[in-house]
Amino acid sequence: MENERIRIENLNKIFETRRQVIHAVKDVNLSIAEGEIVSLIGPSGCGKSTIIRMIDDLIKPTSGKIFVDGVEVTAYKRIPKEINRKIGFIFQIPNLLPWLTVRDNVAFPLKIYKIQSAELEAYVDELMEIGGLTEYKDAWPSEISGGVAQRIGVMRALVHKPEIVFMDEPFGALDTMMREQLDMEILNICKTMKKTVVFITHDVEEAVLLSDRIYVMGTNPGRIVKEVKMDFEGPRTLSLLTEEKFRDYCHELTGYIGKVDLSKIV
Amino acid sequence: MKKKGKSFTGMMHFLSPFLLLAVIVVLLEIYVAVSGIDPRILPAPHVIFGKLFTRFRRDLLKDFLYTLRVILTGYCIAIPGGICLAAICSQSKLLSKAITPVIILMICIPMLTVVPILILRMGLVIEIRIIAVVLQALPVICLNTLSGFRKVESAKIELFESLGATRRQIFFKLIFPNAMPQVFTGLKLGCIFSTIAAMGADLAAGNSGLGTKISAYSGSLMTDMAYATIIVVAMIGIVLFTIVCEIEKRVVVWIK
Repeated sequence: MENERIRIENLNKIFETRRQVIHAVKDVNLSIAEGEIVSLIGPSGCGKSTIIRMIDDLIKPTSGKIFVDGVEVTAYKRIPKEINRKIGFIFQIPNLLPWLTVRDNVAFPLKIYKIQSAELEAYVDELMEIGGLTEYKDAWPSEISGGVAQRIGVMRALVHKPEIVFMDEPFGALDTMMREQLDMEILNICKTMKKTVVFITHDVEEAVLLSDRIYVMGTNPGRIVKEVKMDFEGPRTLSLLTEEKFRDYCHELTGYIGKVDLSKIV
Repeated sequence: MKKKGKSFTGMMHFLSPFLLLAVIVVLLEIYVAVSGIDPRILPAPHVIFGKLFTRFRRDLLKDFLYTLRVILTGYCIAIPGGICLAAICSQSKLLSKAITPVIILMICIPMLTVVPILILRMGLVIEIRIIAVVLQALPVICLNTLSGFRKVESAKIELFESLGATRRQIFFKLIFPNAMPQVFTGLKLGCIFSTIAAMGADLAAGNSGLGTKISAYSGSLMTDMAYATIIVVAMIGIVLFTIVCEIEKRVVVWIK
């Protein structure tokens, strides 16, 4: 593939606990190109979060290879710094540090990376503006609402200008209306900044709305069942939700996942 | 109107401990006057305060300074000691599990029993009292700090790991600030334990210090002076505690 950013070959992850052995990820192969927005969807326990955690070196794979920008990260004991810096991770919960103000929370990855500069400080302010956070900049995390907190989590992941962004059900805890709105915001941000995005969700509609391509995953063992390319004309907006093509994709994908009602599992 | 109400509540919060103390003093005063109890058993509060003001300089100042030096020196050693010990223990689950009962054992040992052994070994020097204070305050500070260090959400550790943070960064930028409220609980308990330990050491070692004064006065039935000395000791504890609280308010600004 041209301008390939992430490639995974025969990735396996087996969790062994005292009571059972769980094959969380089985023989996964995938490839993600520059600027693509790719979703991994599937019910809980299909290993979708485990995959992105393995790419970001939060979990060690049992076997298989992971390449980021052509570098085999699995060959290193710890992911190389320059690769780690290309990745931004947005978690399911905002994960804010209560002793830092909103602005310092957004800016703190720069401290960990030790890459503070006047230019980046200006970039922090720019992100605060984009995320609609400027009015909260001196507030404590305990003083803000859930939606604002999650937006801080998003902007924090972008502050070191990563080229690749992982999102682990970033708005799962929010209500549908707020989630769709934030989805569109983040989509626009990532498109304009030309970021490569790997999006994790169990919500089919959310995945279809945002992605260029979707990998459908199944459980037990966690594996990729199907790859589907989304082909929409024109820009993505919430009005897509009412289009027939959109509904067709959703039906198709739900079919691959199985005849199970996802909302009952998750 | 609302603002006025607020400032009144604030004033009440500030004054309430003094008012409660005043009520206790008045009640005691009435009780002593009505019951006609022997002043060698329970002197009237006004007598105690009178003695405190008239005889503090002459009879208590020297021992006050001596005890204050013991408490402050011991406490200032116990703070970094307790926090560092907790930091070391927090690096390993096994170590922190192993050390917890030892720490509790140390807190429970009365200094009255340890000090005579120290005297046998080292003689009657001020250091044994300081050691007693450290032995009592350090474990309390350590235990609270350690529980704070271990109270980190795994999601936050994952956030730091996703940024490629080093162990050092995780400790100083996550675990330590996260434990701040617990550290201060330890420090507040620590200053009270320091005061108690200094009294215990005085009682066992004799010859100088406010604790020695208390036992000497009560032994010679100068109960009013004994109580006056106890008030001085309590003042040390209260003032130290208040100072730590004020520092906490300026450090832990994110919790209201």
